[in-house]
Amino acid sequence: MHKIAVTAFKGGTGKTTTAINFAHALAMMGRKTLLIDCDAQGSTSLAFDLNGAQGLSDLLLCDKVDIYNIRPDLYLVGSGKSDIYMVERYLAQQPESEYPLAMALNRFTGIEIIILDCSPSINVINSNILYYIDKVLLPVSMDYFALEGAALTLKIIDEVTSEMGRDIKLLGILPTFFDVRTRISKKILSNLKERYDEKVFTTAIRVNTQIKESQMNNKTIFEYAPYSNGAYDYYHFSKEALERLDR
Amino acid sequence: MAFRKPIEIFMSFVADENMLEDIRRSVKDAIVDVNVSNKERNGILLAVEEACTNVIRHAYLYGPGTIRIKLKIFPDKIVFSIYDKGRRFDFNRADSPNLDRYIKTGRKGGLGLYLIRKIMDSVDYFSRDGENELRMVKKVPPKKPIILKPRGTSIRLKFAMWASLVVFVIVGVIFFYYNGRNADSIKERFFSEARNFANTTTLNSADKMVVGNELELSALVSLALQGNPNLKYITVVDRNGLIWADALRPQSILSPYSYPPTIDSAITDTFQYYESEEYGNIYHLITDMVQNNKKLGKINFGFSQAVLSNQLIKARNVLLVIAFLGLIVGLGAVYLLSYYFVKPIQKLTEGVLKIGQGNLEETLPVDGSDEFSEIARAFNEITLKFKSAQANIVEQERLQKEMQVAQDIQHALLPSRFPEIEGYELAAIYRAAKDVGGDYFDFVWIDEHSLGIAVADVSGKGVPGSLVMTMIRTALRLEARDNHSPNDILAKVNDFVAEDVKKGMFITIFFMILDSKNRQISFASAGHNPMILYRKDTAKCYFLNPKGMPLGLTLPDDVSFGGSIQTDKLKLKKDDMLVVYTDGITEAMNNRSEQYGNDRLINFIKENAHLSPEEFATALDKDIVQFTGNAPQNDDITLVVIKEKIMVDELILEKRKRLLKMVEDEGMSAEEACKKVGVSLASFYKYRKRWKEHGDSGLLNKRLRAEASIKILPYNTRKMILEIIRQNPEFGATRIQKTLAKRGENYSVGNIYDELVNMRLNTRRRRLAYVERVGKLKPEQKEILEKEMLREERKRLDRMQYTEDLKKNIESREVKRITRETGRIISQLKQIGPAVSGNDIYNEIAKELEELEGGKEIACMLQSVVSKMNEGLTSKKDETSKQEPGYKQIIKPIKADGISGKKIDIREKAIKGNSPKNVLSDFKEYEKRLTEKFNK
Repeated sequence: MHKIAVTAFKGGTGKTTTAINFAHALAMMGRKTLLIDCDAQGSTSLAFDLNGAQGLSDLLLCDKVDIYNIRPDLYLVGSGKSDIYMVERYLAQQPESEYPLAMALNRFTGIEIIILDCSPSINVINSNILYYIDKVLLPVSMDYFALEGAALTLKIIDEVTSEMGRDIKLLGILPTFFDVRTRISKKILSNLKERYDEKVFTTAIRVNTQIKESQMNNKTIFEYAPYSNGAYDYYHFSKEALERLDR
Repeated sequence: MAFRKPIEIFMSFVADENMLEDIRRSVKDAIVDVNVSNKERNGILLAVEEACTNVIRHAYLYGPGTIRIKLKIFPDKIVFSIYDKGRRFDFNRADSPNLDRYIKTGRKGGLGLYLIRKIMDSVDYFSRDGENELRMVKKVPPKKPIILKPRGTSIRLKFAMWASLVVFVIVGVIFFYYNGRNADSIKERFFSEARNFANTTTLNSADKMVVGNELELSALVSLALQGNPNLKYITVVDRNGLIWADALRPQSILSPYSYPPTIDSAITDTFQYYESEEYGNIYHLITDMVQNNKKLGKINFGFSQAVLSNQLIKARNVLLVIAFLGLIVGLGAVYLLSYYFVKPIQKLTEGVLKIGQGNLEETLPVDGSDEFSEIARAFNEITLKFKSAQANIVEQERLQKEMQVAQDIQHALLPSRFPEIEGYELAAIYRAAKDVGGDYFDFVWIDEHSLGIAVADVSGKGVPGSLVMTMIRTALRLEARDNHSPNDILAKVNDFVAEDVKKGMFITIFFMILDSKNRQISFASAGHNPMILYRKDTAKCYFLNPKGMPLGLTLPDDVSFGGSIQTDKLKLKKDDMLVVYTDGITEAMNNRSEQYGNDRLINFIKENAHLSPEEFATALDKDIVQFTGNAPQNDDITLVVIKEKIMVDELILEKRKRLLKMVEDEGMSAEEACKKVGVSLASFYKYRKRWKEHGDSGLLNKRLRAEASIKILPYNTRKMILEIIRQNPEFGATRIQKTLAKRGENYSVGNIYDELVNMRLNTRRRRLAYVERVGKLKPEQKEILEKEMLREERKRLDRMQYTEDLKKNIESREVKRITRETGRIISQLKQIGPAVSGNDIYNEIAKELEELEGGKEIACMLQSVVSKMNEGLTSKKDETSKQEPGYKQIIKPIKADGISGKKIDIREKAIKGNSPKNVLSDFKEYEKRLTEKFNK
């Protein structure tokens, strides 16, 4: 079972979008995938129009969770309707505060790949997530702040995991919001490739408005605009990522 | 022949040449019993020593090590093995040295192997897994087995000898007797024949003599001589002694007859024996010739003895032969008989010898019914008894050992030091009885201010008792941590050990917790004898006996251990004393079978309570010893003494003053100080205020006076109450109280009533029953007792009736409740309605309802209701789904298990929805088209 966290400490780099479309692609390619929304903002839940369903926070606090079979082979656990602040408080109070999420999520069986959509912050839930997962997918949008943010993210992940004694692999760095028209995009991409070499996926997700539209329509890009650049990019990236997973 | 296991002896030595002496000695001891001559023995020791020397020198040349020596002693050989883990020795190269060369060169050393080979029968060297073995075998002639030749042979011999002697004697006697008789008869015949012949001849001769016919006379005598072979001579002599006729010398007629020597001529008709040279041994007979009463003369006959002798000899020989044959037969018989008779003795002896050697399994054959079989039978019995006696001894030794083990376990478990707890002084005495390991006491820290003290007594003795004590000790230490409730601790301990305690065994235990912070003592008892409290101010002893059953009992279903044990609390004042003990003290007996008893103990406490616990315990121990004298101690004596050292109030005062000092003088923050002292912030302010107003005395808490939480009455008072009851069982608590007051004992009615409840004498009936038991019931009281019993019976019946009514009531109540519940559920359903599918909810409700009594029917009713609702629901749903074809209808919630830790199988829990028909239904197709498009 692969446990992948889509995380970056810089906001707006395309984590949720990547998570959703990646998960759907995996499901379409025949892998049973569970998508968990670990973001208090609940974007993933919104993307699938899940309202007020019991999700992760409820699982942690009251031991109740609703699992939605949203697409064939694709399942979703929302962020939950419990107060996220409560969850933070609850987790922080535990004597060993990194385990609750791992313990809760370890109960899921019958799934090949779990994708966690994380919030762009350094908090207790995220350290719980780090304790649980074994791979990290780092989307980096093509701007300077995101680039530096990536370094920070990786550094923090390293520190935290070595503290916890975990062995987390970097599945890869995904360039997002790649604007073919701008020089800055290319520059950032080349910098990225320089720094991280083969960790960076060969596919870069291009800027594509249809991706944003699909979200509003509660569809994935493959459903909304199957032959768009976005669809192709995500398809191609998913294939690459799957290849790396299967290695 | 039985196969005997070889004796194996292992020895280990440091591989140092200094150890050779030890090695030699040890090996010598090991083979001391082996049947070898001294020369051979020394040879063996030499060989072993040489071998060890070699190993030590070669194998461990570079560093120290150990060599192991193993001896395997077989009946016919000894195998010596020397093991080392050092350098390997190239065995085959070291072959027999050339002795000549040795002598020539005077080289020392290296002879070792040669020697060894010479002495031992075989020498081998093995090297495997890093360990080398030098194996030497010496053949040993097997010890000659004890020849169990019964000494019946000597008996046999003796018997044969004596019997033979007897036979000899008999035969001899017979022989001589018959021989004699034979000889006599032969002699008799001979002489009678001779005499007859002589007489006849004499008569005839007389005739001839008378007429003077010498010629005829001569002819006659010659004829006679010729005719009788026995006759040697015959001479007729006349009255004048002149020979008239002589058969041998006829010419000697008319010459005087000279009688042979020693023959007396006067003796006639009697044979006279003489030995002559001429004729041999002769029987000379002189006969008188008499005719017409006229003596004519004498005739001298000479009969030869030779024939007689021959005859005698012949006869004797015959007899001899017979005797000889008889002897042979007799001896042969003796021999055979001896064998026949001695054989049983032989067998017995054999058997006895075997048994004597230690083979107790041997039984003697018992055949026949004579004395031998009696012996055999008796001996078999003896052997059997001996065997069982041996077994007994072994068993006894085992038991003794077991007892010893039990004791050792016991002693190891007991605390060796008294813990120190603030404000209390402790002492303890433990004296184990012989062979018994039943008592136990322990100190357990609950937390840093609370000390638990346990005193226990186990009913079984020996190792099982000690093991149970171990369990209890462990359980106590586990459960007591941070648990301030003695009855809870004991209940948990009971759970811990209940299954393992054998049926019939149980443990009584008294457990108390000294709380040094709150100066409070809580205690509980599991069937143990009461604890004695001595109050200094009243100088009275109180028995504290909270309810509780012993540990380890199998209880009937409706009785629980935890439910029947209670915790009591008390606070001590300065110099109050608590004594916890086991019944070994009160039941200690002296030679007159008197028990030490409660009264004596109470008195002792009253007199010695001023002593420190240590002194008190020692003094009590001495007193018990004095009382029991030299009577044996039959139960363990355990005693724990606790004394309150400080005035509670003082301590409180100190504490609070310290608190204030910390804040006011030392400038500590109030919060910190409060935390340190263990007081709340509010209390701190309260104390400060009081102190400011009233000074030190304001800090004292009036309510902290030690409460007489003891509603228990003193021991003597209880005795008095019993006395009163015995005299007046109809007295209730009130009248008893009045009577006591008259005697100067003032207690409240409530206290007395509680005490009565404790003693189970709170109802008149019980008191009457008690008096009846004690035997002091007066006749009129008997009537009252009977009346009481009737009353009780009636009450019981009433109660039963009441319970039945209640049951019926309850049933009707239940029905009402179910109806109500159902109504509630249905209304809930209506609320949830649209979002749910009917089946799920129904299942849940049905489950709930089924648990209610009578719910099943209602569940069925509900089913119809719900299915109707379902129809309504589904129809409603269809409407909504038609409005917006999208993904709303696909979404089906999956309820997860609410129980933590349970696995959630997503695939199982998920409910598949309908996927919309779009390009993605065939992914492969989509993939193809997508790549086509973008790879153009």
